[in-house]
Amino acid sequence: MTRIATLLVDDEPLAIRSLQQVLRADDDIDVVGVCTNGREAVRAVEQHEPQLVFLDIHMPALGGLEVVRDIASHHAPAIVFVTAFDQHAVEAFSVNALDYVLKPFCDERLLASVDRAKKQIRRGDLGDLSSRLLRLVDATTVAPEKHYLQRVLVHEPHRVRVVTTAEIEWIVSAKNYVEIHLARESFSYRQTMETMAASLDPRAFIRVHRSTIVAIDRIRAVVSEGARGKAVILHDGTRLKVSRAHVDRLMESLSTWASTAGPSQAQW
Amino acid sequence: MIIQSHWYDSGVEGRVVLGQGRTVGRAWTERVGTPQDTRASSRSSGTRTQRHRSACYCHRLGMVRPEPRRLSLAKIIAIDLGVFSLLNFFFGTTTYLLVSKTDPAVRWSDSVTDYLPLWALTAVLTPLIFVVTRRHRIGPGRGWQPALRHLALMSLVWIPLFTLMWMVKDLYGPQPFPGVAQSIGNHWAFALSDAQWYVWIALAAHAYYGAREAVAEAREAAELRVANAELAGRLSQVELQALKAQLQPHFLFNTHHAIAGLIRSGERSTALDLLANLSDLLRYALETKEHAVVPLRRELDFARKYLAIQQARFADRLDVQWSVSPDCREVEVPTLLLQPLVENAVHHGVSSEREHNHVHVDARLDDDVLEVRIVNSTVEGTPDRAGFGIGMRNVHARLARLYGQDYTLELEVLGPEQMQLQIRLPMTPNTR
Repeated sequence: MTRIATLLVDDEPLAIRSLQQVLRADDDIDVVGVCTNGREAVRAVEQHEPQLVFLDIHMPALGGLEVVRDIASHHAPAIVFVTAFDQHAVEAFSVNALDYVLKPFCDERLLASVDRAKKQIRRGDLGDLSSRLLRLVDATTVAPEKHYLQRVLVHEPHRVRVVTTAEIEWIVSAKNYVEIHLARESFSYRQTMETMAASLDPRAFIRVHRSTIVAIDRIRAVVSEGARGKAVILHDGTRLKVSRAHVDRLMESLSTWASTAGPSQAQW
Repeated sequence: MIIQSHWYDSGVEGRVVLGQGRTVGRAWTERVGTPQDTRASSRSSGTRTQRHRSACYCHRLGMVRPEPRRLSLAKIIAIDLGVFSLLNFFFGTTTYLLVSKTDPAVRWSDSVTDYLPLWALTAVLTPLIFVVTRRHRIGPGRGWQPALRHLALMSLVWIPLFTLMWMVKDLYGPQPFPGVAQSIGNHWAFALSDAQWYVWIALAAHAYYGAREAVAEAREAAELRVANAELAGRLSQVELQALKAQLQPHFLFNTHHAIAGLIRSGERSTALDLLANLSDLLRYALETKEHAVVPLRRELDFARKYLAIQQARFADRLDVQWSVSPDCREVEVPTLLLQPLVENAVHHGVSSEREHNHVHVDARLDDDVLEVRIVNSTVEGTPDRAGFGIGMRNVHARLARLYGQDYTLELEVLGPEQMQLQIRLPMTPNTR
């Protein structure tokens, strides 16, 4: 009986070592390669055409699911996904009858996965695997998230300051540049208002006026100024005018923000 | 469900305060009805104005605050008639008392009805003055427009109408009508003196709306203070939750898995070290209280353990250097200050495919100012770790609370692949 060509993919050396140590107990497994990132993994799959791949989900640059996307159409090895904490992906694995193990795993759990994979390979019933993998890719591909501005570089006389967009409180336009206001200071920034508005995450920032953008979570109150329209009051008391054209959008953003706001999850 | 007009007029007059679904101050929202109700009603009649929609937003936001209750039409009419009937009675009676001394034939009822046209017309025109005053109050910083409007109203409406009123009275009076020109000539001066009533009423209107606005503003300010205080409290809770969440799940499980790897390859003592470090981190994070300050050495210790774990996980891909001058070790700093900053520094390196990354932590005292610098390698285009921006803001918020204006926290690009984060803090935080 030929041994099963196996590829190990994980960006942490100790995790690779775990796989190696456990798989050593099974003589049928022939580790043909070890990869520490997704790009290497794609190359190694093309090169070695392994029958079995242990694939980490969370890796720099190219994650496990992207690796699947890149290889599934022309090569479909049996894949055992290895993950620490990816609820969304784990659901997709179950739905598509794909095998996965959670970190940290015990020897028995991993060997059970190996047995299952071996049976599939021996029976040759990898037939619909490729389609199941492609379904997985569909299920886990989040609509390509637009990359919003995360930080702006502010050029000062002797250095370049970095300001994360989360520190920005409000922005006001001035001719052909904008003034960025932080909690305690403000900068001029060479950028048009339009470009600025387009590059900021609309879930975090809202335009309240042709010449004003405000960080939604800094707004403490929306007040009426009688016949003069409305204004937003920021947490530090700053009062900014809201133009009639933007009132509806503002209220909408505020209400959705209030129901979805919360600190975002750490990724690793 | 129908919403009373002056409530959902909040689109124009009310105000909405954000409180994450909670009501600050009194619970006005009950009056607005359920969101489904309002939404259904705006759907069922698509042409209704956005007032419904804003009522709906207000409700979902949790707070609707109306302006001071507007008086109903019936009340306005009652007050208007009441006040001017009283004035009519007063002027009629005093005139009667004065005239009856010289002319005993005069009757009280004649004297009272004599004034009736004057006060009836004033009663009719008074709401107009109030309406104009509500929209255009004269006052500093309000320009000339309101004054001009009042002047125009007075000279183009009030005086002509009063002249006309006196003429009509002539027409039906006991004497024969002397002709239009003669009548105008007789009465325009009277009408001009009647303009004084315009002035008095306009003054009353100004006083009324001024007082109403002052009351509303005072209440608004007071409620904003309450809201802000509540929010500040909640915010620091959220901040702390966010800080604790930094140690969550990927880091924990991956570290466990690294320990499993060490056990499997028989590196018993390294595994135990890692386990002990991880437990220390968890203990530290769980013990952390909101306003706690700790000596810098404890923060550095935490960062050291955190970085040691990351080094164990990523082996030679991460190089860590320390330079800590001994005199700054006891300076008090907020707990969990360094963790999000060090974490992001590591993230930039190891989330790239590059083989060698470094983090350099430098802490020292510079003229009684604590200076901590974290220099790390970066990779062009590596996004910040999710939540880092929020982490940065939390750090800002906590430092601002403790040090007011006396701190700096700055990120700086040192070169194409190098970034520095610098914190400067005075030696004594305000812990109260």
